[in-house]
Amino acid sequence: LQLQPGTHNYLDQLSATVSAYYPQITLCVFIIALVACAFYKSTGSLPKYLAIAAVIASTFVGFLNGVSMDFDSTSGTGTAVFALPRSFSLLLNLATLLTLLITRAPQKTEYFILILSVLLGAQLLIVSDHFVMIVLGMEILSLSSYVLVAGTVADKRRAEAAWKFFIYGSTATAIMIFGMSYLYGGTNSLILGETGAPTAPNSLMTIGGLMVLTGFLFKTTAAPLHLWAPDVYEATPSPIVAFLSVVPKIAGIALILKLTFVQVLRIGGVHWSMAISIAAVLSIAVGTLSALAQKDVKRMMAYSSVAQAGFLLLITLTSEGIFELLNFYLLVFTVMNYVVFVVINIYEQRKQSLQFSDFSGLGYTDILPSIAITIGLISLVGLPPVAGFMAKLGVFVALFYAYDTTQLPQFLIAFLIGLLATVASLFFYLKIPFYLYFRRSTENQPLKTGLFTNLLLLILVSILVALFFAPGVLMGR
Amino acid sequence: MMSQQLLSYLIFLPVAAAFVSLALPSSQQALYRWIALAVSIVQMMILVAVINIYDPAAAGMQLVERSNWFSFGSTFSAEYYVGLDGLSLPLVALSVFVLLIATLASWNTTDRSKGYFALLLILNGAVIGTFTALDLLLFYLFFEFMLLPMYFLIGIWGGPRREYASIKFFLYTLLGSILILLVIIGLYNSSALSGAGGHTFSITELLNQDNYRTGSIFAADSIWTIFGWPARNWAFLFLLIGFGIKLPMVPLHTWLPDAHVEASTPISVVLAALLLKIGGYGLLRMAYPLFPDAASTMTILVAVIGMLSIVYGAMNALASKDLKRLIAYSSVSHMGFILLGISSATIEGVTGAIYQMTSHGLISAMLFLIAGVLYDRTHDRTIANYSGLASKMPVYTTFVLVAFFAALGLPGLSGFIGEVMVFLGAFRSDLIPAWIAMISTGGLVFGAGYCLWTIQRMFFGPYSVREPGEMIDVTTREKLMLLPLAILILALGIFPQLLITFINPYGIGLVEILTRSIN
Repeated sequence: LQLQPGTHNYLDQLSATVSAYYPQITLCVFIIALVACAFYKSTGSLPKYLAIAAVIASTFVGFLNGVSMDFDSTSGTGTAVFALPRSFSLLLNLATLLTLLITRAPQKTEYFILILSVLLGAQLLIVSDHFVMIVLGMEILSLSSYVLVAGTVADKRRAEAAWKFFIYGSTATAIMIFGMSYLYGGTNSLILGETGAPTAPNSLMTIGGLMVLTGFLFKTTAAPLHLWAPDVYEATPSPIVAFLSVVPKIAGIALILKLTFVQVLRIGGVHWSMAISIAAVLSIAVGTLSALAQKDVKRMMAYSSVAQAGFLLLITLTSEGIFELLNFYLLVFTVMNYVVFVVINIYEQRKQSLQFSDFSGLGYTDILPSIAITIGLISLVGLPPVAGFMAKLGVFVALFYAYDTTQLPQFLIAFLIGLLATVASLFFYLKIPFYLYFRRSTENQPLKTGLFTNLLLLILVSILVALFFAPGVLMGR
Repeated sequence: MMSQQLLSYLIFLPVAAAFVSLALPSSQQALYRWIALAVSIVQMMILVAVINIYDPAAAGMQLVERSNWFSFGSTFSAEYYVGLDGLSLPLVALSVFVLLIATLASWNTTDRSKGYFALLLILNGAVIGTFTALDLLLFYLFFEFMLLPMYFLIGIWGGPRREYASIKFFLYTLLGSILILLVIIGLYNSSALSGAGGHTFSITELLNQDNYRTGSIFAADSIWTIFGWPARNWAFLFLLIGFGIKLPMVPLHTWLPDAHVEASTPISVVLAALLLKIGGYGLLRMAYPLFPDAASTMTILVAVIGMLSIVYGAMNALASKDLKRLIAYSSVSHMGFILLGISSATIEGVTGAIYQMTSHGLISAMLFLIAGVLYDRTHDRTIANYSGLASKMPVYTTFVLVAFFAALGLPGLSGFIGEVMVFLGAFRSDLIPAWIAMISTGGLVFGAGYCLWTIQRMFFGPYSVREPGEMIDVTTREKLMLLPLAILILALGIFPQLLITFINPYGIGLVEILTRSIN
């Protein structure tokens, strides 16, 4: 196999733009430090603080970084071309930080290494547009998350879930790499943004593009590639579930966004908006309908995550104000998801698998967690007065605008199904508040939540409410 | 200027008080109701100031407050835009008044009173916000904002089947509000402000057809069709269903009897007197003025639904065995008059519909309070279990007679004015055939039937009460609630001009829009 000349050029460019990778390199340094730490069998909270320091340092370096991280689809090639706005990395760091903060002690050092590795993989995916870098980032992210799900203790349920996750994930990655080989054959380039007419027939480009899309959709938990999610969510502790429901999803959305901006593939005749809108509508429908039938809280959240992926995919299809909307939706999604999982995490310590009925009457004994989870779930439905409403409204307005200007029927269909799903989602999201407040408790003694958890919940809930009243603040306009 | 922000004070005072209540320690049980009462009294004073400033002769919006709320990327922006006109003023006044009564009616709520009064206060702000908002997004937010407090108020403090009733209420309303949201988004996207070049949610701007993008989906000359039917007709139909659920109109009314029977007395009062009115308000604020052409093509449909609601609601009331269920169905029947009046597209009809909304707010509040008085004594609402109450409870019986006679439309009481104006409009209208108005008058006969029959069964004849309970006459607190209502019902029945001067300019304006679109 002989590499194309362009690849060598790219390597030169890479060394020139290496500063774009400083945040990731910072993470690597901390990961190595943690590995060293693991050899000394470090007990106590040193690894945790080291991991928190890593996230903060990486964020800080990202700010100092001179390379423009603003989105620009027109200028030049190389890493910075498709580098997504800094806010995407910030969201990843935020989610990681939250997970580290709610992680229950004691954890082995490996746990923190794995969390940071997932973050590293996701960050690489956001800043890369080269197929090799994408595969590399994808593998770092995936392999670490499989092990994270499996856990370090011998737990049969987690082992089974991790096994399913692994099989699905590696198949999706394999298909993606196969598809990349087609695209490489057709365009003579390993760079996702490279322009120029393809030499291969359109059908080949279409198949290749769809195969790549498969791998990306897997990361967003979109239907029909979501089958692993309920089992993984059910078996894994909440801090990890919250992490896996947000971080890979942001990375996957970023990749799909890049794909939709690639001119070559558009010329190649792939009807991106059609393929993605089918996946989006399917995700919303399957996620909502399946969530209705769940009894386990975390399985319900798994299907909720599928449905939310559908809404995120719909945003990638629109054009007006796409980045503001995507940033807003992702931030709101991250915060509301964490609110729910922080509360689930509190009760999980009491009982391993949480049914809806386990929440009976808790609204009157555990006041703050109950209010917090209620607000989080109302936000997930998309009702005022919380930011989830603004996020969903933004999607609907953008979709309607897209329909109005393009007159493509898939936008209207997505719009209508999205609205119907919002009504239906009320049934399962409100089940928890229903048990909290409408059912009398059986024998729950009040739970003592720490000051730290209460404060965290208070901050997260305040963000949700504040973003409802002033959604423009974040967007700077 | 302080007077410039009167409406904002009216809306946000209760919301602020709700948060203050939540922050207070739960041991102060008695404090919450005093806070709620104080808020209502201050609101009453603000209302007096508002009515003083308001000029009934002037057309258009008054006491307007308008400022940018947020803009979100290039995708959308919304305003904080509130104001009053002849449609909203009577309803805002009704809201302040009824919420004061409801607070008094909640006086003995001791079970989790902190949450109860906080939710009631939030509901208070949301109701007034809905009636004053002139930005469609703001309107929708307040509209949705009412949903959750009501859901919890029925679901936690309700009767035995409260869970079923509250979920049913929530789902019906949410389904309706989603249809409304769909139209709001469509309107927003179709709008194009000539100056700023952006979109707008403002109702006053959307009334002007110059502010629409040419060729957009809801522009007046829109040639869009969806499934072979004009897009503007779809929009009107969606609004009709969305607000019709709230009204409620037959056949979307089934949530109402359940919600009323399960809700506690004060919540029933608020539900019947205020939340139902939002259905009629929405039709008059959005559906008719914004889509007058579509409205004229569906006049017969609206009129027939109105007729069905009047007759079918009254027939159901006649067959009800539970006193609250009877009153709930009588509400369905009375709300039918509103649809009939609006569909006539005459000044009498429209003004009558708004008059009927206000008057029914007072009458239904009084009826539910009356049912609550009995329920407090015996915890039983079955009509057949009571007889000859007049002999033991003379004062109570007097109030009952006023309320029921007002409900059946006796001249001299407020119900009569609204109904007679609606019928004047319906018979005079060129748009709806006479048979619809004629069949609707049948509802009056049934109405007289169930009112008189109930009075005869429960209050006359030999005294007997099935369930144990001390049948004392109305207490001072109950008098304090019932007497003002009775006085207002009587006043509005004898001096209709008190209200019509405020409503009439709005009615004339709307009919002008409607006739212009027909010609």
